[in-house]
Amino acid sequence: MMSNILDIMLTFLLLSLAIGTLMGTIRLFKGPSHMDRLVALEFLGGLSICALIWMGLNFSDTVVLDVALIVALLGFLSTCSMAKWLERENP
Amino acid sequence: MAREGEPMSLLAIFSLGLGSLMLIGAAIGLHRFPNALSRLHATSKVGGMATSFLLIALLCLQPSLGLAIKVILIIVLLHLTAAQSAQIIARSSTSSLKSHNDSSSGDIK
Repeated sequence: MMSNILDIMLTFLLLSLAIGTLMGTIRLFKGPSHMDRLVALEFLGGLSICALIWMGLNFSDTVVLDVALIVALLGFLSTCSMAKWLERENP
Repeated sequence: MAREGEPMSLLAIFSLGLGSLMLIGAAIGLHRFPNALSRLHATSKVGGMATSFLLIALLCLQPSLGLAIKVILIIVLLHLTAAQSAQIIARSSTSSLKSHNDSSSGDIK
């Protein structure tokens, strides 16, 4: 019974990941300023970490945590460089 | 998968549901808030908390020492970098706004 509830929660997590990806992509294409697009990109990076954790939960595999660590580091680096570029270029 | 004991499995289910709800809240906030700074506020805080709760659920379902070290490392790094990146994005936007107002008020350059 517990495993059944867990499967339902995993499906709910997958649904919420789909909703988040949809709304982030809409904001990425529609956003009025460059800052909105940068925020949407950062949110999509966080969603990719959540998708990796979903893979680890669903397949009972914990090697995805190393990948999640690298994705978090690269997301922070790319956000910093994009924000610095926006600050310098002033488009 | 969930044979480790009832309290751990219950905690994993609770944490998984909370993380999913926070993810949906961040997505709705990103889609419906009026300006860019409030959108940044929504995603930078709630996204980090959602990822932390999902990591806690993963740790509760497969408890081991190496996994706990990795999970704590990812959670600490995620919260540090979320605060830093939100501050950098907000500063870049306000400085570009200020220089835009300056260049529109007088053409010194």
